[in-house]
Amino acid sequence: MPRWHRASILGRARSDIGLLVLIGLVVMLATLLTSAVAPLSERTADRAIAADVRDAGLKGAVVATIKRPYDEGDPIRDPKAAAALRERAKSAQEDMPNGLASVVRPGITTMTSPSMHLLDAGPGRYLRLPYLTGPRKAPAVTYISGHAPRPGVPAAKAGVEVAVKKFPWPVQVALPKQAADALGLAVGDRFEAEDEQHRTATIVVSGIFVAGDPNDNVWAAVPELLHPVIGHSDVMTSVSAAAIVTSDSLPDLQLAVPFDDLTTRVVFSARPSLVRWSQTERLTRAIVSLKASSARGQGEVSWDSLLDSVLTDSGARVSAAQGQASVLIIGLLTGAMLILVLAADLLVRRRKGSLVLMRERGASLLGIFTELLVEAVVIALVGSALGVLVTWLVVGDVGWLWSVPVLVVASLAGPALATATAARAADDRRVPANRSARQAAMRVRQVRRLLVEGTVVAVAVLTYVALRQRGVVGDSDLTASSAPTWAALVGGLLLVRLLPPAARLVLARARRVIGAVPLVVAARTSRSVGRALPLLVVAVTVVQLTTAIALAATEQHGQAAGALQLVGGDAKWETASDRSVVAAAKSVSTAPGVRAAAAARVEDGIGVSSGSSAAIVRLVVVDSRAYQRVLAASPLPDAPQLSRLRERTSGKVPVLLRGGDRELREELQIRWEDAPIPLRVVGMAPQVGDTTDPVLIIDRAAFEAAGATADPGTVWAVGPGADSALKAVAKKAGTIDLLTQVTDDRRSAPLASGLVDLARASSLLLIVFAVLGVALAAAAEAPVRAESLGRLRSLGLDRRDVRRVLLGELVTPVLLGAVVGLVLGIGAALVMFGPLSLELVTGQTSTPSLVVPWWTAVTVVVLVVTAVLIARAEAARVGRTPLAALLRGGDQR
Amino acid sequence: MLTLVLRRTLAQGRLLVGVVALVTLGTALLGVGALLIGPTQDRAFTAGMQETSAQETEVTAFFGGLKASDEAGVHDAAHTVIRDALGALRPTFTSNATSRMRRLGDGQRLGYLASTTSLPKRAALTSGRWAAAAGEAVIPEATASRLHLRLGDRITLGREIGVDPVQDPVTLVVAGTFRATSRSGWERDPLAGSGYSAAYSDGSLPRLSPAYGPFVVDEATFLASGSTIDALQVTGRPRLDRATDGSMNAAAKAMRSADGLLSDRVADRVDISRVASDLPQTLSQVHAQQAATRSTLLVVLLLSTVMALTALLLAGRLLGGVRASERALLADLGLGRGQLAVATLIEVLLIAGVATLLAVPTAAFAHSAVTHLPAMAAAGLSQGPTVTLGLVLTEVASAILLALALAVPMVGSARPGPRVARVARSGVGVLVGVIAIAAWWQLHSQPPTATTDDATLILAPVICVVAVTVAAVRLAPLLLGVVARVATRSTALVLPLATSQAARRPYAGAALVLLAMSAASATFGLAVQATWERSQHDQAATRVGTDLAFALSTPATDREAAEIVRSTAGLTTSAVVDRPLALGQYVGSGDADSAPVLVAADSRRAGALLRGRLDHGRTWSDIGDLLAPGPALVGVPLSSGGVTAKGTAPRGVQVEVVPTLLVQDASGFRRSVTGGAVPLDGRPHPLRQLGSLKGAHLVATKLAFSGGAASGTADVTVALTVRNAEAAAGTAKKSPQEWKVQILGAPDTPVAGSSTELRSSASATTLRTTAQLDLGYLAYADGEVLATGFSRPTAVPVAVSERLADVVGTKLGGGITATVEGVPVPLEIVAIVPTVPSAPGGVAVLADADTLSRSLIAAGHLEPVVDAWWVADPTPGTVRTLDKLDLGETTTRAEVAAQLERGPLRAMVPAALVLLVVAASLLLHGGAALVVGADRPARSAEVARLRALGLTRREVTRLVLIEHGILLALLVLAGALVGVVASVALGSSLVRSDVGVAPVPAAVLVWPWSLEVAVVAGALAGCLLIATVITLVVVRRSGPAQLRAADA
Repeated sequence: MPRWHRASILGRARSDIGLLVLIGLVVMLATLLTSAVAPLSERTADRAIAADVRDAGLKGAVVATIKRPYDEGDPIRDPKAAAALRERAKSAQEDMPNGLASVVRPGITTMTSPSMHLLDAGPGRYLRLPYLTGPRKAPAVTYISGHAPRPGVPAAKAGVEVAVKKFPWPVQVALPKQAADALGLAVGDRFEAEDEQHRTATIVVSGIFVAGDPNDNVWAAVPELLHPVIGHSDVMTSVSAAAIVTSDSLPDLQLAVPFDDLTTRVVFSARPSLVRWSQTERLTRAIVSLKASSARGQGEVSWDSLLDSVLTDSGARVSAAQGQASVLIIGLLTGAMLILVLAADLLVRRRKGSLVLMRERGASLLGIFTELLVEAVVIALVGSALGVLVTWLVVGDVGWLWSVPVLVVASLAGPALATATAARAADDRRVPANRSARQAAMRVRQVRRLLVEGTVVAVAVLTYVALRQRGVVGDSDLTASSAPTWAALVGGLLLVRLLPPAARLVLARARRVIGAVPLVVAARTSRSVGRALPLLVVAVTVVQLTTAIALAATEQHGQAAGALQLVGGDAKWETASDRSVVAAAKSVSTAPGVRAAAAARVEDGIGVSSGSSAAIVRLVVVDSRAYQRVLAASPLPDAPQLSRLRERTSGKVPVLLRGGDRELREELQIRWEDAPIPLRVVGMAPQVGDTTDPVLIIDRAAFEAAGATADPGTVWAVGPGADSALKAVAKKAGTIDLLTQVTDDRRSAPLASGLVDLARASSLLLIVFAVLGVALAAAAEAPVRAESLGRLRSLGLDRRDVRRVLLGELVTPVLLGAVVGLVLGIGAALVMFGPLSLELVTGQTSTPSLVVPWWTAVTVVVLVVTAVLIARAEAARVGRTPLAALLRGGDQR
Repeated sequence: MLTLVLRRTLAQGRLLVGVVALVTLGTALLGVGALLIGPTQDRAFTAGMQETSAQETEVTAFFGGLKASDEAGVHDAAHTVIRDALGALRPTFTSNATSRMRRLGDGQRLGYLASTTSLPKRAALTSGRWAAAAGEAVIPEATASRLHLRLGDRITLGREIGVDPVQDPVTLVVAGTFRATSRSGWERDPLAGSGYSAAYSDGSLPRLSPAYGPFVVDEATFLASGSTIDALQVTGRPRLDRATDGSMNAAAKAMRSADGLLSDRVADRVDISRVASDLPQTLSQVHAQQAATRSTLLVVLLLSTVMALTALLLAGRLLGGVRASERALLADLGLGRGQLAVATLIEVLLIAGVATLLAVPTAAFAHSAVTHLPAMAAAGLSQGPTVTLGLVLTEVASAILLALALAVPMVGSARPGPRVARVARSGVGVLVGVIAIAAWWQLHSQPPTATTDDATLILAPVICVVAVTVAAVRLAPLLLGVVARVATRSTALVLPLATSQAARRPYAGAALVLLAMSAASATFGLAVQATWERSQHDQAATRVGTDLAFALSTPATDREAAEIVRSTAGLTTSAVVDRPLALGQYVGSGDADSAPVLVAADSRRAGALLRGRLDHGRTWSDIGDLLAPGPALVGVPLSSGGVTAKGTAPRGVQVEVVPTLLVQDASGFRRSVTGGAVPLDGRPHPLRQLGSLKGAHLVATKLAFSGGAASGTADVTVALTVRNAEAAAGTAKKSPQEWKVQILGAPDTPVAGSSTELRSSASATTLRTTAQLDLGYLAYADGEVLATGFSRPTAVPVAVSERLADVVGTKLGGGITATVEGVPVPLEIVAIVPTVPSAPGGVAVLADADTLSRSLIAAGHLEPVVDAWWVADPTPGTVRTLDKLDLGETTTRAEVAAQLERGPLRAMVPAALVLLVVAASLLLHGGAALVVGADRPARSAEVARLRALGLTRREVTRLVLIEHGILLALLVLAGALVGVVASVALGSSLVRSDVGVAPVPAAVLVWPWSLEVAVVAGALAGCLLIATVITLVVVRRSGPAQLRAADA
């Protein structure tokens, strides 16, 4: 083990403290972001899972069905029925695994009868009798008439068990006001109801109430309680409602309704905010294990839940988004590592003298390596510790994995480069005097370089093919995710290959130009552009930056476009199909602030067929004139072909069709209300909504002229007043979708917003890296430049020309690198965004169209300005050396 | 220039012949690959399609509820739609029509008409003849015997049942009787081809009625009857003998719109219409298999191409070396670089041309030979020598490519000195290492889902093998140095001289890589093939689960069970339950393979019966022991004397009992038989209609009480008496059994309490069951009591698959609940196995069939639950006999393995691997000949010098031989080592299942020692032989003349 010389380690560090701090800073910045990625992406995943569980609603609940013990012998009125029920619910809750129990709310216990047919007046009236209670108490209600259901026995006997001989046994129930209204029942009504097996029960209405808190989730356990279901059919109207039983009348319910009609359930709804991404697998397993533990009708408790499939589906979406995120992170990491290598290179250049001296004095390569390693590791550790600390302070949690490459490169790049420099300096190999031998040696170097470049190109091609074939499906497939980064590297290498010959060409031209500046600039540039690293850094970071910006912009734009496609204007009203909707649409179109409105019938899953093909289409029957106006007024693409729908010829109804086979266009016909209607395809339909099925558009007038009726049920409106105008005509019927709201919903969805945030953060960091890259590259060559400029000054170059030479030397490669990077970045985005399946995040049905904002070009400006500033600063510094001193002794630095 | 080239060609003829041979070899290899991927894959597609079963490709249009008058039109519409959809596959059609049920006479009895074009295929005539004239019908035997119909009898089918019935009766003459021969053909018959059902209901009838039929008539009669057609199916079976990828794709695409098209055409005339076909799924499965095979083929081709390229680089290098002095001379004469390059190009193109001319027929014959390999021939893929345009294009392109590879080193001049080379290598080593690891990681981290045709994964093994070889070869000079240093200690002359010379001489990298890689490819190819074959056998074992699985199309009756037992006499067999089940409320998470499956077999024979790999050195007997059902069940022996039931009830109580006996025959098969209703009148009633019970045992009985009208309760007793057979009398007495009783359907049952006891006397055994009945309730519902000769298992012990343990998150000793036949069965997990036989990779449980059956019986489910019979070590005769029974399908492990290994879509994989081994050996020997042979001019001078120094001819021969031998042996051994490393790293991940997913069970590397040793030894021997021959030639030709020439 070599011994370290502490004084030289410290002294060396002290002399280059600025650069070391810079390296530390880069490490810190990179660690800051990479260590935050894991906790933030986990948090985003948590939010996404929580949102999915929330959206799932009751589907995400865990339901225990409890078997009621059967007592043989005579029926008994059991006054402790409610307490016993609560006891059983409690024991069911205790059966749940801890992990699951902690993410669900305390159970809501229900004991319900099936929907029973009321026998008092007319068919089609159904009533369910639930007893329901929260974990502690029954939901609060206010009686607006009558009183709460009371025991069916005198108060004195209410507390003791009574053997029952007389049947039927009536049960008192209380109706919510909505149900009482829907069923036309009043306090004191006594009626019979029968179940599916025609077994009857006698029911007495004791009171009518309104719920204390209709949003209490207890009510969700029996949805028809507060929201009676009213169904219309041609023959009759049916009403399904529910009435509650209290703990006082529960014993009567158990007697009034046949034993096997009553089902006891405990519904544990999930607490979305407590469901964590990291737990999904464990939770899924716990749920499946519960479900598998017992079958219904056997054992005490059987379990049901769809939460496991909700979690699995949600997990799949999260992992797709993580795959997209890994594309950005890999790009960022590559940028950071390149910058670190560049900084290390600068450091080694500055130390070259002392390193060579050390080696010449007999220091071993291992000694040099380890001495420098100590320094580099300390810097890297301090930098990353600071980064991690900041992450921890800001985010509250830290992820390690992505930071490791930064740490490794920061620790090894400097020592490795320095050791190589030292080794080369003290290499005792003779340079062959023979020209052909020298050429051979050069060829070997070229072959080596070709080999490396070939490998990079091959890897880039393979990763791109992998991306095309596999797509980005999860966060574990680094091969496909790294394709954009490899493409950037290839672009950088290409630049490095092409620039020197180009520069030599320019130099040849510059020789013929009068004036020293172009010649000097061209001469220097033709030498300096051969240095791979600075160009590579600028090009690669700009490519990544462009990709990241384009990704964010494409997603944002895609979300807006998807929302617009879904809504079909500024607002959309969907309601039951009715003739009156036509008039409503007309009134909306004349409302203030509405530019256009159209009413349409939109039906999905309609079968159409031609002579040799058939398809399921989305049928849109619309007033084509109004729809054309809507399309013209909205940012959706116009469809002048809609006017062709109004030309009626040859007895067939003209239609527009989008998608479907080519064969579908011949002899198309549709069956509408059981009658075939021949159609003629006259053009390509515009996309309506976000369906993936073919779209068929028919003009309403033409359709009706062919004998069909299709009353509209959808109204699109465009204009700033669309929202209020639709709300005014809708009067709470149907649903209204607003463009602004849908867009906001999509943008604020956890996965989408998380990804856009990551893209923004990484583009910020990448621009910092790019600027740093320019500065470091300039600094690396600064001494050589100063020397040559000194010579030129002593030869008579004036201050202005010095500045121009510097500008030319510094700005040219940066400009070239940045512009090429920009072009490559756009190209990479164009080629790679398809397989990235961004539509999963934007919520569109097809790949979003690429959007590259114009201000991406600002990157180039920023970099060029940086180079200009550096040039000015360097010019000032060069100018500070007195000419006399230069003339006498050259540059003394 | 041309003259120069031609003259030079003549002068260096022998070397050039070698080069041409090498190019031809490489080109022909690629040509064989092109033919395999092209015409052979197409042929395999057609052959693979033909191997699919009819159900997998046929297209069926179903119609429901149409009038007879519309039949012809609907029929035509179906024909047109199916024919259009299948296009070039020109389908043949069959159709089946069944009428709605009609009344037979005045009673409850029902009968129905049918008209079918495929009857002779699905049924065998047992008497009379097929219906030929109007008004004639053929009927099932069961129908004839139950309706007492004889040939020539007339029968009238009355009006239809249901809404809007047809009233006109139909009178038919019985022309013949038949018996259904295959169950699969009768799946859609209302009576499933049985000819009779005592309790038929289509939902429109108020009660269950006896039904008979079908009365199969010709189409004219059928239509003339004017019957409402309940079901009409028109099936188009495509002709697959000329199925091509294009025609099948077109058909699959047309399937998508066929349903809509048909329903549109017949919308007015039928209630329901649907087009169904498995063709698209079948096609995509065949495509997946093709892709899986193609990816292996591509790996082999790529490896061969890399080797061929290396060989040509080497040849070019040697040729360049031979011409170095000539080139210098030409350059001195003033020939420019461009002119030299043109000359080389012309020469190379000439070589390419000659090679193409030779390679086209070579490839055609070699391809024909490959397709005549036993495996390929068995799969029907044999082809004569064919020359296709694709082949010619491939040959031309590859010949030019390979010849250009030849040109690269020929043009290049200076050789990098060893020191410069070292610098160049320093970084390359790291690069090669990184590439090898990256390639390995690609393969290693591939997802278990289908990844065939993934370019990265196809390239990865090739890159990995090349990189590892390059890395290994870089160590060769070091090793030679070590050998030389060791050998210098010897005092002998020849050995140190030879070794130090071997270590000192510079070697062309291409030569080292070629020799090592050929050896590596050969060993690697063999190992992959062995691994692949073993994996196919493992997969087959897991898929079938046993040696022979006989899956029944419907649950077996006792007679069928007896037939099966008779057919498999003397073999280890077991009745097996193999069906999906619900685990509690869990029925899977949506994926096809996550639906739980239950497999129950005879655990006592598990060791002999079950197949599939287990972990931790366990055997299936060990697992079977954990599942064992305990002592065998011995019930009450039944004799030919029959069973007598005597019931007593209080006076005035009108109650009947229907006893159902669960009997177990000698083979352990359990079935239930139901006697008629017996009034509880205190008199003994012999039970009728029990059939033959000889040799059977009574293990349980269910008593169903009905009747009663008054209120109140009554205690009733039913005694079932079995007259002892003489032989069995003794045993019954010796073991008085404890019988248990339980009330079924509690709490909703009129039975309030019950008890049972078994008494044996010398002549008879009596099972006396007492029940307390609620007479008022009994009027509404039957009361059932079950008495069993065993106690209900508390839980069925099961072994679960790892996947189940993973999905459900359960552990050993854990409990889950399964629902089988609607009966909840508690399961206790006693073992976790990698995968349950016959349910590869699925969520599955393995139980003992006996325990399961006891559990089901105790829950009141007395019907037999048997889905299949499994047989260990069957003879070919067994399979034939079972097939003849026509009760279901037989699947044997050997058949499945053969299908996986040598099916038309698969046979190319082993053939390709054999091709790799052959190509590698050829290239190895060619390479060795090049390396040794090219050295000859330099060596002959050296030999002459050594001879001049006084070495004997023999010593010189030994010297040269050792020198070559060391190098060749070292490279071959290094290559073999690389083969080992590559096999260990990649062997198992290269094996994918037939549809391109990770195989179940996972492939395990097989290293075929004997074959590998033989191949390596053969390679060594071949190389040494070549070296010997060339050495002998060199030594013989060396003489004083050479000495002078060398000096000059």
